[in-house]
Amino acid sequence: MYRDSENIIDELFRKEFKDYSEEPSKDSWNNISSRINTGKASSSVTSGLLSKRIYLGLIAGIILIAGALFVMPTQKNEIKPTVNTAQKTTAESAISSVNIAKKSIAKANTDNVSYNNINNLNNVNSINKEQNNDIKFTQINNNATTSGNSILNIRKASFSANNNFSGTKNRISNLNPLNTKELISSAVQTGKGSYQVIENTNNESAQVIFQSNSKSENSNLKLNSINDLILKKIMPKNIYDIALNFNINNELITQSTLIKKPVDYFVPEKKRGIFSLGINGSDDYLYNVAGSANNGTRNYGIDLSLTYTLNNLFIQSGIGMSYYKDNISFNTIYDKLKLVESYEYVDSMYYNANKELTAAHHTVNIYDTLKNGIKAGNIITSYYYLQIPVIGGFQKDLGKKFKYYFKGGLIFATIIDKKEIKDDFISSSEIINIRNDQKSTETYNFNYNMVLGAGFSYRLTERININLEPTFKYYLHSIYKENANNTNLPYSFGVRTGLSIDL
Amino acid sequence: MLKDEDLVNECLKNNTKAQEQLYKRFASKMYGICLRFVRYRIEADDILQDGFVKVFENLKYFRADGSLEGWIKRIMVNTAINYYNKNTVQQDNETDIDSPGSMGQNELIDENIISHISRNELLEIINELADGYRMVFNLYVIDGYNHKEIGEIMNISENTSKSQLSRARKILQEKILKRSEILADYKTY
Repeated sequence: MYRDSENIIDELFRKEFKDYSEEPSKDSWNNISSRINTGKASSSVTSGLLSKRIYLGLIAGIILIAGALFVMPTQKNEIKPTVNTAQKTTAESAISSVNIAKKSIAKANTDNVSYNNINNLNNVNSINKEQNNDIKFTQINNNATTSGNSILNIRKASFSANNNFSGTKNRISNLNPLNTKELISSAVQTGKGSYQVIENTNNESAQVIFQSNSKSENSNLKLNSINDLILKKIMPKNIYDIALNFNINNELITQSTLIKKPVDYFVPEKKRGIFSLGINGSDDYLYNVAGSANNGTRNYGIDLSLTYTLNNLFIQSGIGMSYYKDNISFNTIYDKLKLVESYEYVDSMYYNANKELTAAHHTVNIYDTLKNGIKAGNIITSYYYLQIPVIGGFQKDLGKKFKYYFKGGLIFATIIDKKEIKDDFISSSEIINIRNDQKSTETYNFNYNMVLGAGFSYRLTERININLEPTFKYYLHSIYKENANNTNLPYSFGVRTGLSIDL
Repeated sequence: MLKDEDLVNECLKNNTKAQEQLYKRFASKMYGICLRFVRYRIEADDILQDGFVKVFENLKYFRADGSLEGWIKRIMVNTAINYYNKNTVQQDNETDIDSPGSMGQNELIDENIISHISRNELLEIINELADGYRMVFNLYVIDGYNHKEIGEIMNISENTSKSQLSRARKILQEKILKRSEILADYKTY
């Protein structure tokens, strides 16, 4: 029998669901009961009806907590991921189906799983969840405190508001590849929100919702590096689920079955580039400068750099100073007088007081002219340049700490100072003529060179990096105006190193 | 067995056994409601628990002039709507308004074929709806709210509620027909 679709659909659903009922999970009443009772206890406390016993209990509790806090830092360093679980306790009702001895909680198939009132959940190496069931933790009073734990394939893990996640090193560290530290610590540690990964049936997308109970906390809910989010197709009908898969060492498992897919929706801020400020020193060996003896002269530099990095590309500029000196030998050609002979020239004759004949005279030197005398000498000239680089490059992560990069560009330089030290020449009255008074080689005030570099960067802290890069520079413009000794363009090999801080 | 009114009075005296009895009396029915409103059982668990906590906290306000079941049901539905408002990104509420003509004319459906679809399959189908559609469809068709009431509690316009209901029906119709065809094909073999 054919009928209008609208009516028939309404009737169909109304008939099936008007009085539809289904048994909830057995834990539901326990949870409700505990919440109602907690409320009562709370209200009775606030009404000021504290008995002496409660006071004493509170004082004892405070002392115990203070003692625990005092002891905790020293214990923390001793904890290793492989510590046994002998001392861990769990509520019987909560973990009856969980094999703690194997240090893992694994549950598969169809049932929803709920773990309640877990007092201590320590040293669990993995909480493994598969496919269609949800996993839920409530009232975890002390989650794992050791490193190296992992939470796998949880489609939805929710944490009730009263959870105390004071020792959640595992959960935070496990999600480090997603950079969700802020998020998880805010949403879970404070117990003011929940973390949900919800599938979507639209085939191509999935939703990750990080819900804070308080909208004012949304500023903390930043999910960075969303490209690292892994979507794994683990369900039929093209329903995507989200799996956060890490191995025991907190390393992201990259399998061929995992599909990387960005979910832009969940990134409150678009990924922007990073500015970093650096200070660097360099030392280059310079070739083809004036004077063949100067090949390999050192060129020292210091610079402040500003780098803008977006994804794997960066551009770099800044300001720097460099210093080098050349040492040029020269021969000075001069004319000199040579003494041929001397004689005494009598000026006058006279008698002195003793009536002796006396001559007044003076010596006369006779010179001959000696031309084209040659004297070797040196001029050491120091050059100070102001430099502005314009450089682009490509960088790529090499593990968590290292990066390597390639760069190339131009460095524009201008002379800001020049100092000349010249050998002291013959200061003699015999010199009558210097035919060529040698000076340092004339230089252009401005030049530029091409720079190519490749280097490594190591992340010292979250924001500070140290880098080391071999560089090659080729001068595209001559340094000297009159290159007496070398007509080729100079080039240099060197090393540049320094620190940079991400702004 | 205590009458509802007596049960309420006992609960107000903080009688835990009475509280448990009240829970057991209505839990399965309320859980059925919760399951209609959310996609996952774990969410239904949350709503059921939150709803019953509210029931016990507000029991003193219950007036016996209406049925206790109706009162609890209303709390459950409100809790589910709050859950929806809190957890759902409001993206499909106001933007999916189609012109009435775009939905096409109602088609005719063979009642005999769709009668073979089980309740679990229907639940699965309704759970596949986008949250907004599911909420409006549930509230209007099964729980008997009108569009004005739905608009107020879901913070959407009346027209949006109508539009979403229309789209929900259309999607449900398509899904049901698809399943019916599969069933029909299966029978021919």
